Amino acid sequence: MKILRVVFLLLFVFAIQLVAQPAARILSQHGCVLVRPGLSESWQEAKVGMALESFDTILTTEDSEVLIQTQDGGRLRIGANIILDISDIKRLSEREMFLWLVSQKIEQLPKRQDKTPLRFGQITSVHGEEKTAQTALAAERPRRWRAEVNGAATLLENAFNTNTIVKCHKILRHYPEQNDCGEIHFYLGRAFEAIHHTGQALAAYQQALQRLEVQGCGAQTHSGRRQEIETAVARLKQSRMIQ
Amino acid sequence: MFYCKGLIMKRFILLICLAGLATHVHAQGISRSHGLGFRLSFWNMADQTFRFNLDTAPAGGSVDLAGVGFWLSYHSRIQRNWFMQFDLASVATIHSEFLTENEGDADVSAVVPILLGVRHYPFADRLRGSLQPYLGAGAGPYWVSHFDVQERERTGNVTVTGTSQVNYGGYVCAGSHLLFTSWLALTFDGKYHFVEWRSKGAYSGPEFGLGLTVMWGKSREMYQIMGTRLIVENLYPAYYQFYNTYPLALVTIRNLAGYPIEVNVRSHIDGYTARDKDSGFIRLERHETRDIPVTVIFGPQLLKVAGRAPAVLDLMVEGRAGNTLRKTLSAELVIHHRNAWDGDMQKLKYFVTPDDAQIMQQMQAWISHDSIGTNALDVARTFFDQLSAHGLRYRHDPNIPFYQDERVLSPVETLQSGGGDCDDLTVLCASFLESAGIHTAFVEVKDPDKSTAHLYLLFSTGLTPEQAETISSNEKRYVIRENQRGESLLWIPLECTLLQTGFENAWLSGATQYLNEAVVRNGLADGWVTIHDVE
Repeated sequence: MKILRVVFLLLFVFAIQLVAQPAARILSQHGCVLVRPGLSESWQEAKVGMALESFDTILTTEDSEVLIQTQDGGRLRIGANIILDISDIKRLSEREMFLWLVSQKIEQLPKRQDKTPLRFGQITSVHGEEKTAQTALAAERPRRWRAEVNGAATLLENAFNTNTIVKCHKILRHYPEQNDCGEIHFYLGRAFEAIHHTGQALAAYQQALQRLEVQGCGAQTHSGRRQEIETAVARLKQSRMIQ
Repeated sequence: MFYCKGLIMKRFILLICLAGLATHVHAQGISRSHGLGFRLSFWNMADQTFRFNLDTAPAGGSVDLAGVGFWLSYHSRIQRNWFMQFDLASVATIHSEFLTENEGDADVSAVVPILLGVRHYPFADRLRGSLQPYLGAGAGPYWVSHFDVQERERTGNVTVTGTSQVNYGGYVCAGSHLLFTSWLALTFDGKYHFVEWRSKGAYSGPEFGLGLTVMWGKSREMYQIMGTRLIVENLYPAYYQFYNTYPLALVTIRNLAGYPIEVNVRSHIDGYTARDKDSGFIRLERHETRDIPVTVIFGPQLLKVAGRAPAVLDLMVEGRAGNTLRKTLSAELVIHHRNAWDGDMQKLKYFVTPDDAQIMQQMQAWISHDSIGTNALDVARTFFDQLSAHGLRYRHDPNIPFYQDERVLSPVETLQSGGGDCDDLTVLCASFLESAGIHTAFVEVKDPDKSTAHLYLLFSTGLTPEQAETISSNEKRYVIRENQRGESLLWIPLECTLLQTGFENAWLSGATQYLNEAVVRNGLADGWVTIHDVE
């Protein structure tokens, strides 16, 4: 009887641990790896064994690397110069991904009428910080964008295809000013192709080609990507014809 | 002796002309269900000519009258344009001769038809004027009496001998009413009688009549009100501006006439509407059925309603096609307390009052200080902290037994009462921010894991994503939304119930909720987190 009680107790403790399990945990790290908890403005150094929650963000600097274990027991190696939200690596089903995309589209259709009497107009000035601080922030932005794009590439390489699609859309929304020469749409195309959504994949690849053309990206620099996209487009068109 | 044929013709034409005028004055076209007619007629029995002769000479004079009769007829609707008709008449032929001053002979023939038949108005559905032609047929006994009267002076006797017989027969007729009013018509018709079922016989022949018909009972309807569907049974005073354009009910009307008509629905709620509201005349083609939306014009007096009360929506339907036919109907509504809210998030915005003088003055006083920046974030921070300093607090709504509606205080009431629950405080925040020209939106959370819904606010910073770092280096603290021009702008979530703890905490709490519920738990995608712009 006592043994049974002990077994039940152990099972209970195990269950509690399962429930309380963090969204991710750092297994190993190399170089400077930073973690931003929740909605905090500041970063702190990561440590091996550190528990990460869904709201947290992980950042790897130049020449650094981190290995994390996700809640489902999977492992993800994050290379240098990457920003990833822990929520980005919670595997999304296709349904969840499409619902997210649809909700974003619906959210983009607000009905607004100007009518209030004391309108200042939409203000573009900011807090009033020093110009140098603003310049510094502006300079920081492309680097953050690059790290985010690298994060999307990492998700794609690790077959987090639906997560890649959501991440790419988030980047496009947060960094509309950045000239990516079709890179993000290229990732989108690959992710859609991986989950066999040929139509969306084709559309994304074609968008990537357009962005390569329109944004004046150097033909030499991106010739490899262009060739990859064109091959993918031809492949998808052929598969559609066969179908 | 004189023949009055010419005089009668003149009078007849005059009558027709008058009736023609009446047609324009009172076009009707719809027959009532019962009618009683009185007619004078001439019955051309066996090809006799119309005779009226009066010679008053004491000896050798005579009186001659042939085929003149008086008709009494009654008709009653069987179905739509079909009527049952009953006729009773007395048609006499008199020939009297004065032999001497005190002697004379008279031959009197009288036909009394007692007829039952049907009458049909074939053009009732097509004619809009007052002329209503009809066709009819019937049958019955024709009671024929013949009397011979002899008056002799020397004996002083008056001898009357007579014979009587009943013949059966029938008739066909065609005629028309010329309606002066809906209850009075000039009637002229022609019949052909087949006495003993023969077209040629002693009493068979055509008969022409002219008279008046008095009608009563229900008119055959120009239109029918098929039904009234209340769209809004519960009126919430706060939405009064919404109701001024949104239909409270639909009245389904069917055109029963065989021609187009126009209908108008007039609405009124006694004690609550500023004035009657007309839908405007809407054309209904023949046999068309249409839903006419009913709107009302409420005034601000509706905002004074301090309790639930029943009200009656009075409707008057006017149909016109020459004349106007009016019908009235009513429907019962419930008018709720001025602070009642039915939980519809789309309508919560009607409680937001950025143009309230007190709100505007207060906001101006707070943000006009030189030390306060003009950007939306600074304005929001300032007003929020000022509200906090005023001691506004979160408070639960009172429980009202059996009353399911939420109560939302107006912003001024929230200020006066020193606080409110989440919807009161969110509406208050939205009113202040909107009065400063800052766009706001409500975030409604119907968490499937919780029994009650929650509400907080989003407000636009007016900044683009490129300027995001000037607000926060953490993109989880703001939301990117597109405006109608397709521009992406940064919005800040704000938990307005945290007035006591200050702006930063309210922002952090709002952002945490948004991140957790809308993003991480997929509430936005699953539909249990919704955003409603305050327009």
